[in-house]
Amino acid sequence: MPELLEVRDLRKVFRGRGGHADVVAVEGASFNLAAGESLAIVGESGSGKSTIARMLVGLETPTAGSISVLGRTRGAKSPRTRERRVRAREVQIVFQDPYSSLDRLELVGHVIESALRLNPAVSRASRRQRALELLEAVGLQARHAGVLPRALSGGQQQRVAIARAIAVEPRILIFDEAVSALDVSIQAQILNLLADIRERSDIAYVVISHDLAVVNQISDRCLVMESGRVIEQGRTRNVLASPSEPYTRALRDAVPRPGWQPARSPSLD
Amino acid sequence: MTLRLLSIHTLTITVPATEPKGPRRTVVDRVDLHVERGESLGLVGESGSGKSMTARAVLGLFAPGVEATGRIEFDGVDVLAMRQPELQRVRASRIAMVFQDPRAHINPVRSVGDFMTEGMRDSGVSRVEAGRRAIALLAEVGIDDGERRLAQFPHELSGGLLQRVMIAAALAMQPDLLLADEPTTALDVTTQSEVMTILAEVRRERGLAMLFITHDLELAAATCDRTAVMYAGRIMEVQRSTSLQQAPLHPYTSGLLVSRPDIDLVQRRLQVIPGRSVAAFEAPSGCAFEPRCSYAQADCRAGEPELVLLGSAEVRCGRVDELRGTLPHAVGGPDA
Repeated sequence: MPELLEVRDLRKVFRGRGGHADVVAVEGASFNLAAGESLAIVGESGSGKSTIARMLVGLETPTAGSISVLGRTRGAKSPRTRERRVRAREVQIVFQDPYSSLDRLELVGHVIESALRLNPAVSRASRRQRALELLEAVGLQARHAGVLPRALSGGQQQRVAIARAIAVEPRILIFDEAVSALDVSIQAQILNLLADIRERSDIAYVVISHDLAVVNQISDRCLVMESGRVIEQGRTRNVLASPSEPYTRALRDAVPRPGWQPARSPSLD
Repeated sequence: MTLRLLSIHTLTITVPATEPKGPRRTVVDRVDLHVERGESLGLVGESGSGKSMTARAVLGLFAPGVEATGRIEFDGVDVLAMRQPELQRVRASRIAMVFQDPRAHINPVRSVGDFMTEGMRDSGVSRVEAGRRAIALLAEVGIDDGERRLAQFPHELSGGLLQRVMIAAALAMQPDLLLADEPTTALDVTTQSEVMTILAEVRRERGLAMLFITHDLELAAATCDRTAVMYAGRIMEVQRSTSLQQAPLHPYTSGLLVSRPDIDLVQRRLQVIPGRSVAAFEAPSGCAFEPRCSYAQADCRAGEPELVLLGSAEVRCGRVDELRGTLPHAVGGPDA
């Protein structure tokens, strides 16, 4: 049986404009993801972690390398509508800012029902009912179906974005810093929700995050990225407990905790 | 007895109603806080807790329509009663502020040098002398090639570097108090650690006091002498940071500590605080935290508990005597 996701030698170069040099955002990234697994991609801004997420979901085209989902390699050509629908059922993404990813004029219930159209397992007649079930599954209530996104708090909006993503029952769900901006008490609720969803299905997660504590809570394996390259990977517990790369150690040491002595890193720019 | 540097008494802030003829909405509710000379106080809260409003009130910074009552004594003088010129003098020379997004507070078409020397030039310092001082200030925040940086423009500097420029500029007029509003939230973790180091160093060297506003309880507790926790516009607890983390006195503080995932410990599920946080005007009568509190009893709804002194700590919980010493705390603590 083919691997759920297989990424080989992925490369992304953004062409420089107006005399600026090309930027290599991702260089030679390779990794696999099995059904039901949760993989974190860790790094700071400019590390290339979000560019990988965007390539996985088709928002960016790789410059080189391959992405295969269930043994089918994705071509560089823009997919036709039919192929797009297939892909949408394979990979979904939840972004950091839920409000900007939701249509501000669309009622929450419609947001979920539109996503359900991509799911052939749900008949047109049962969409309404299923949408309400999904809202409940992410800790919202039926009454929330009738409101606009702006009537909800940030945490509630993020729940809607998650409900929309799981509505199509994707094989892979990507979270691009999706819990980073939430209040602590809401973040814990969402992290538990994500654990529950994974326990109930064989959905796989790719979690893009700079927050090592979040990564430790939500992932089985992790990749550490620095300047476009994967510099370390392994079981999350091992990588965090005994990092082999100085950069991973620096990331770990930068996490505030009791008795923390913040330090200047050797490079200052 | 020496005068406290900053002393806030029953500060209440209201904002205009959302609908015509509606009641004004309270966002900060009878806040009492103080900062000693040279001390750092962390002010922690989730969105809507009123922490930023409280900090801005210290500078007399209010959006149109915002009203404040109570007293904010800076070095014995009430900021809320000051007239504009006096307030501007305090802002220019004694209290400096560092914000979350430095790019929003620096003119993008003027050089770093212009930005840094503007205040000094206004107070009569010569151009050459202002430049010399700016370079010394940049060196103090770890920027050694100050001369080159002064000629650069904000967009040429990384976020971390720009935040250090803001700190250097804040030091220019030798303030007594630094208000830092989420100064590291937009930065990467390693850059955050650098900026916190620099803040600690300049504070130590200059005996500078700091009011540090953040949503990150772990960061505040790890870097400030004392930490205050706000909820629904109220102070719920103030303690020395080490004891706050190891022996929280308020169920909300305890909830915040245990609901954060840990870098070492894997828990199948996190212990959560149910529901969402509320603003002061949404808070129920009785204890504001009661609807989300797992220790709540019928009495907690009856009346709002006062902020009471308990040794050197302050806490606003009706059940503090029973709960003291029993509330779960940070899992990653040194004694865990």
